[in-house]
Amino acid sequence: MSKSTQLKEAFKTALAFAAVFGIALQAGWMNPYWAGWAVAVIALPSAGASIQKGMLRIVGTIPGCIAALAIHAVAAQDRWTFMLLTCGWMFFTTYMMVRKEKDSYFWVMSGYVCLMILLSDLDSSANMFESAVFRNVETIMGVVVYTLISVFLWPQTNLGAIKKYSAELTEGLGNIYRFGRDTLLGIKEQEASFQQMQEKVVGQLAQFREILQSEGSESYEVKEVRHLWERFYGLSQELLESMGRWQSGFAELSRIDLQLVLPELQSCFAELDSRFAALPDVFTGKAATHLAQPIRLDVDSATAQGLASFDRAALEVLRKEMVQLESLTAALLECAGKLQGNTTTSRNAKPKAIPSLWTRVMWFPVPDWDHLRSAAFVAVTTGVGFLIWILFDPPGHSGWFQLTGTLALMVAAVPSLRASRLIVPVAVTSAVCLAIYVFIMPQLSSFRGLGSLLFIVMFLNCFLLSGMARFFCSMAILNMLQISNQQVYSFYAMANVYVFLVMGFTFLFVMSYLLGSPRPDKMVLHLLERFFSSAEFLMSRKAPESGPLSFLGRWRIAFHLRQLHSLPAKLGAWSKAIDQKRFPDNSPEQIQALVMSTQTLVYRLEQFLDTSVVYRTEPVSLELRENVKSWHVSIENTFGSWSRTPEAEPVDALKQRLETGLVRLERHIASVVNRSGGEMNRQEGESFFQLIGGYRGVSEAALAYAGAAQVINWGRWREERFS
Amino acid sequence: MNTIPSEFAVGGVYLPPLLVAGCLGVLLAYWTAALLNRYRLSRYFFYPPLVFLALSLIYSVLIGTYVVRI
Repeated sequence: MSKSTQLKEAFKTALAFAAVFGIALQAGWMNPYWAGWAVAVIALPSAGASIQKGMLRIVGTIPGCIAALAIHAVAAQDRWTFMLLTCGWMFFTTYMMVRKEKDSYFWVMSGYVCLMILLSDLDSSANMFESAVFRNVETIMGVVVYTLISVFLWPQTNLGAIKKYSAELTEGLGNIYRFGRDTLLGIKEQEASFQQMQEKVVGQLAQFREILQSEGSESYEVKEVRHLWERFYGLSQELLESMGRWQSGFAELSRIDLQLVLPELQSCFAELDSRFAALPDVFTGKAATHLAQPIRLDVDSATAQGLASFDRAALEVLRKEMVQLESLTAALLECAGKLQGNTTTSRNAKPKAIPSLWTRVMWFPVPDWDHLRSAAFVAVTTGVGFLIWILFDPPGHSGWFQLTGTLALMVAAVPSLRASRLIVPVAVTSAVCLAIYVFIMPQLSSFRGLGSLLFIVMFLNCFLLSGMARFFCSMAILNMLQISNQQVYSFYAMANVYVFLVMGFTFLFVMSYLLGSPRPDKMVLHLLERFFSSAEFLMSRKAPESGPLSFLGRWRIAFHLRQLHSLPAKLGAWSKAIDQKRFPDNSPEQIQALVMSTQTLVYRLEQFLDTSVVYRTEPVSLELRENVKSWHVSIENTFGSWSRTPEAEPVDALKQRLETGLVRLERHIASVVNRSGGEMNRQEGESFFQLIGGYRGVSEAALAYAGAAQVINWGRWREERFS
Repeated sequence: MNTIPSEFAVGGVYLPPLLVAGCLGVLLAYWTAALLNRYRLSRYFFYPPLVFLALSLIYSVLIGTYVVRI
């Protein structure tokens, strides 16, 4: 954002902030700072984003008020029921907040407003309904005033941004595809790595999501076809994952002349090239659309016969991924065409892959362990805050229940945010505002003076600070200035508020130990343990001996699949928070390589889990059953030992074992196929080679992980220290 | 020596001695923890957060007993 835009935005926010206080004080409304909060929070760089957040704030306030009134109606005279019901509501809203990123602010408001309304008037419950009404009215007033100012005064619009971001996103996806194609064809060495390109696209996807939310709020055109934009987003995500799986198997194809064994490979790439070239053009308006042509990718059976068993297996895996890639790009192109108002339909509307049982169980409603933990943290913090209030009643009084619960929501939303780092900014900003309260405010005698003061402090806040620092400064302004119609000044009361704010954040830091160690390195260790536990469990359910699955068994599979799917991203977020000064032995690149190796392992496990176990009936695979079984057990045991110690299996020993096992199995397959006259049922062949390709893929990915884990100084990570 | 607890007056604002002793205790514990981290001595503790709490209490009691009189 340029300096001039920053200046204008700060001016708009400050103007709205002073105006809402003026309106609320003029009308004699209860707690004018509620309207001030609405302005401070929804002030975002674009009008669309502000409208979206403002709408969520208004809509989220309503269930919060209703919940507060209901809790009060049920448990006004019973403190323990009151506490349990409130903690239960906080648990629910926090869980929903972290689970549904799209509506998270709605759930933040539902939890926070409930706490505000419950204790809005401690002396009597008679005014509670009035408080709830004023809370709603002032929130709406704050949102409306800020929206009007942001729309009419130097409007910052997002209109058209979604197409620009879509074009950039498809360009990024195209770059990954071209990188893969060139690597596969051995054309040239690439400058950027796959990981770098993947990270860039992940960032573009997140930006696209934000733009979709904000532009959808201010543009009817976008809102009308929102379902198509959502589909475009989903397909882009799927395509990114599919390309990740596709590229993870390239190393195993080095011995194969792909153009010989897949005669249609060049034409397939040509069609994919034209699709990826057309996608950005569709959004920038350079091309109307591109009609996807059907692609065939059959294996030349005569050439394939001459390949070694593991090469055939790798080939089957590649072919499967390329078919999926073709299907997804066709669907993406069609979706882009529809978004541009082009109704031409290609031959293939949707990805045609039939989901396997393992994919279908992903739709089971399963909780995420980290989401549950975050929800429990907020509920327990609220409960302990309540106990501190009623048992000790320290400075801050009901704030221990109200404010600590709200702040816990904030920590739960960003788990890698260290509560200990919040204490100093809160102490400093609150001290500045306390000084304003003591030395400047008593000199003011009219709203002209107060309005000017509010304008100046908010302007400086918005112009000089950003992100969390701005949020804390807004919090200090609203909590320390305590503006009301009957303005009285009490140093004692405000000094207590100051002490409470600092103690509250310290309390939050202590409570954050409930979420586990706040040390990022410890969190990475813990997440790796969970990752390999889930991998071990899923491998055990795919074992040759495993029987039919019960409902509970499927639910557990769904739970561990979700864990496996979500953990690499969490590992990535936590690993970036590791302080390099404390761990000079390991560079950020080494830690990043470790995280990427877990992502590759997920891709390979997904490929493996999607294969079908065929050796119950078919003769050739039945003979090889024992070999496959011992391979399976070996992988399962490796994952088991990594779930206890992430560096348990040294890479050299693993490599040796894998190579010996591959040679033995290769010989055995050849002898079995020879004995059956060199013939193998086509379907059995495809399934069997996909299965052993899956095993090999998992083993190679495990080897890559072992290599990345070997260079990490785990002993140092495990050492205890003060955080 | 005067053993009667008395408030700290800062510009006419009276601060309770327990608050002063507590704040100083936490600051000293923070400084000790930083030193222990620096020389990798904290690895010998089973659970450093509890050690920090204990250090804060010990320092607060010592300061309260010998320095500010709580």
